Amino acid sequence: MRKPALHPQLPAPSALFRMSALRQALLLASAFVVMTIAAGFIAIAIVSDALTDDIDEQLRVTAQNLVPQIHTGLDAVPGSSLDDDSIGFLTNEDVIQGPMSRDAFDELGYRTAFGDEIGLDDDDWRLLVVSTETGRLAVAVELETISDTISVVTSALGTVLALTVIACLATGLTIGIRAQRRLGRMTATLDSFAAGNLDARIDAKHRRGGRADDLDHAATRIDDTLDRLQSLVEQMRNLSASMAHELKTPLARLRVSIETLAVEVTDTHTQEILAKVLQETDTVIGIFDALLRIAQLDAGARRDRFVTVDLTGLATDMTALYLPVIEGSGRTLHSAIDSAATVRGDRELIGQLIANLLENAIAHTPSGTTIGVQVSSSRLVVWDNGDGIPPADRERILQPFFRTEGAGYGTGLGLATVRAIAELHGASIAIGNNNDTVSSRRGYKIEIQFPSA
Amino acid sequence: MRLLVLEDDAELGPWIQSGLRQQGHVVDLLADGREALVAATTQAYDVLVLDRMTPSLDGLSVLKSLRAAKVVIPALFLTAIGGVDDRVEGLEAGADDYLTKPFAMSELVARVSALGRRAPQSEPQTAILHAADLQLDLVRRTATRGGVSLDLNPKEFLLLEVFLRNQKRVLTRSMLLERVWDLHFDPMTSVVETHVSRLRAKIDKPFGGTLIRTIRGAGYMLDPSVSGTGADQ
Repeated sequence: MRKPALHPQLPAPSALFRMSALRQALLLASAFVVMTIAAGFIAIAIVSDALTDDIDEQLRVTAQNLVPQIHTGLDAVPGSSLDDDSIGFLTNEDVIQGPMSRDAFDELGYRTAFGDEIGLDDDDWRLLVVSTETGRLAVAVELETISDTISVVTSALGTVLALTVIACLATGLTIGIRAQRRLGRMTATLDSFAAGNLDARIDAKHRRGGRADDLDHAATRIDDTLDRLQSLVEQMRNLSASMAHELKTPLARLRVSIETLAVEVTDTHTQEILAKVLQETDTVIGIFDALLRIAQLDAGARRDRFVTVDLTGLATDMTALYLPVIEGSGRTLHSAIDSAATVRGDRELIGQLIANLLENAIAHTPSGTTIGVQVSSSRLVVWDNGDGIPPADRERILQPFFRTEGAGYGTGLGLATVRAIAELHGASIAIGNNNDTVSSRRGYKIEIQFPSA
Repeated sequence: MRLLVLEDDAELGPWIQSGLRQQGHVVDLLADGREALVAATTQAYDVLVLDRMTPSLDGLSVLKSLRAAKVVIPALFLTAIGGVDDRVEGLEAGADDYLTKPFAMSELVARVSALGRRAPQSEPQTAILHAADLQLDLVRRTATRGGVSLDLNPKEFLLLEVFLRNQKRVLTRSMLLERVWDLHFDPMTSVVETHVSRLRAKIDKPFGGTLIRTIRGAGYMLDPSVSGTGADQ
């Protein structure tokens, strides 16, 4: 049974760079944009060079045509050749013919010069100076034409580039966001499953309608794995349930028989023995009950019934409940409970947790010990100044049936139940020695930190 | 009282019926859920005892159907061990109390008796409860015995109130834990005993009386008819 897939929100800007798919897409898009801009510059440079070469060729041809016609000077040249270009001639006798200034004839060959340097209009000019028998010939062309062409090319390229950049980024962003969303759907599904919604699935194929890619395949594999996991968890739950079902009847009947016998028997000695038998039977039942409860808690039972629990009130009630027992056994109780502490959870279970911790403290400390309960915001601490526990045992103490003393007291599952309840609430457990500065006894401290409400 | 017991186990059913009959109740035992539903709607019972897992229609559904049909007979729910959700589910379905199998017969007897006397909504709101020369003023939160004022803390006051509201009826340790401290588990230590001891030290010992009696194997009872200087502890 699959529920519809989840739709996560658009990612917050700050989280953008941690998103691999989006980052890759944007990186690719940026690389493409950079390449395109570089290509544009290169294109403009090539065009510019080509145009310049063209002009130089034009000058060369003009000069070539003119040189044979100049004998004594420009006036020997037929008028039609003088139309477009600017032509100047410096005779060997240092006489300037034409509009150009003397500076124009300084260097031989091709060069680019400003108009006011060479006596022409204020613009860029391409200049060719050749020497003839009778002097130096200078042929020049205004680069305005090139500039115009280059401007046209540049703006054309610029427009194309701008459009390309926008298209690139838009495509990159879209692809990236789409891919990120798909990843986000996967992580959201996994989170939901981990939180206890065993029905959560990605359901990718359903959305893509058959054109599945590798992300879809990964999603399908994840869904299949979740199917297996759900089935295993439910099998386990069913196992606990079937175990309970199988054992409850024999245990119940066993107890009934003993109790019936205890009532019918008149001999005191037999009655005493039967009372012990009944007691041990109840211990067995208690152990079995606790084991099953722990299994159910580990499977997430009651989590969906969580409410806001008044931790202050509950801790106060529990300390008041156990005060007479603690004092009656020669120990003292010290409580430091902040007001208005609340946590999110199950009141009955948290109450049992506190009770188990207190009973554990009573059972494992010598007479005269002080037992303390401390509550501050969402943290619960139960400590004592008894003999403490060796560091090696600290973690094992939460395991079922681990005992630091000989067997015989209780079910051995008190702290294991505490662990299960804490985990169900998402709380962390810290165990350590409580360094009591007054008595210098190491003592024992267990801290339950609930998630802040 | 007239009781209906729904329990399909071939040994537990008769045992429950026999135990309750010994207390003087009239007990009808049924093993099928559907039959129990019919019986509960057509006949007048004082208390229903329903097992959770029964054939044809399970106890939980029987209860839900009864409540939906506005049948308000008090119901006690029997569940298997290890059921973390059972109590809450039972309460939500409309149960008034619940017991985990296996249980001691004395526990069942005490709870059935308590349910039987409890009129669902019409318990008169009396301001003063009393037994023999003990008086409890619920409005002013004071307690006196023989005119002498008693110094009780809030939980002791509530404990005494529970006793006074259930005079001559056995209150088991777990019943007291539930009604006074709203806790639903089995403590390893003798918390309830210690609190009852302290209460006795305040209301019985100084006056040489024994209002609160220990019922061996079951629990406690407040009985004003046994006055005098009995040495019961």
